[in-house]
Amino acid sequence: MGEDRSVSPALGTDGMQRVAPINVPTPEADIPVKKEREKQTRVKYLGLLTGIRKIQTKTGKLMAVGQCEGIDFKFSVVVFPKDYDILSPLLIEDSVLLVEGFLKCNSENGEISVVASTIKSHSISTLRKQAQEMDLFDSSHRVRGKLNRIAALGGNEAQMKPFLLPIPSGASKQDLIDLKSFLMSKPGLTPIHIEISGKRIDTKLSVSDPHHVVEWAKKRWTGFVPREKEVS
Amino acid sequence: MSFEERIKGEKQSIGYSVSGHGLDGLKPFIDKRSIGREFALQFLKDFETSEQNRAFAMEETPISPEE
Repeated sequence: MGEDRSVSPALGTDGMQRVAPINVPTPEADIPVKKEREKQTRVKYLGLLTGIRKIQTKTGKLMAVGQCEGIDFKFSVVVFPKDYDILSPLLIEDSVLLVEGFLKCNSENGEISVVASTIKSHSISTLRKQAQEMDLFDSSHRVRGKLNRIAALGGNEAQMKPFLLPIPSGASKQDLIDLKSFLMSKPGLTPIHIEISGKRIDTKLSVSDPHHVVEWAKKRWTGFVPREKEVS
Repeated sequence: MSFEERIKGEKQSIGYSVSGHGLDGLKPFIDKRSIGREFALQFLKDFETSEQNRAFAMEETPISPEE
């Protein structure tokens, strides 16, 4: 007669039933729950490859990072060493890549990366032809690069130069809140930087005309005088 | 000369293309073939908002005598 070696989770090897003490936390319950793994979002993006960087890892293996321009955002294509031999030959500058993989967003610097699992590489002409055959080509569509974004807004490149607004030492927090609302109400091409206690800060907001900001500041802060170099 | 040849030639000679972008005209195709663009766009929108908020963050602006 064969010995039955199976052990029920409720019984010990001695056959004694194990009963968890009531209201006493099990050792597992005392261990902090491990940080939930970052949710992996699978995406498929198309972009024009504008640059490639090859990197040697600490273990001497090669990996590659490509810079792609999409129609509405830029992203990096990351090829790890395990896929390097298969995928890196597809990273051809000025070709259009169809990249499938996991999305990684860096909240420190705003960079978007796709860790590639598959890549398809097409020439611009091939893809345009394919799109035309599928009736998915719109000849009126233009990708908004820096230059044609300026043109579309009726501006010129000089307007892209940041304007520095010194914040008077007596300014209140409410002043800054109101300034932010004001800047947001005048969207345009000229980036606004503010200087507080000698520290220059990019507000990440752009206005149509920095003179409006100066006028606002004069009304808000008695005796406000902009530096001459700040307004052209 | 094709569109591709023209923009590549411009990029080689002056560093960037003036006739257009390699993806011009391809929006409907890209819309159809892409998956998950909304995640990237939402991330960028959130990032921009947080950067704007950071620029005006009160803790970084020790200027208020009222507080």
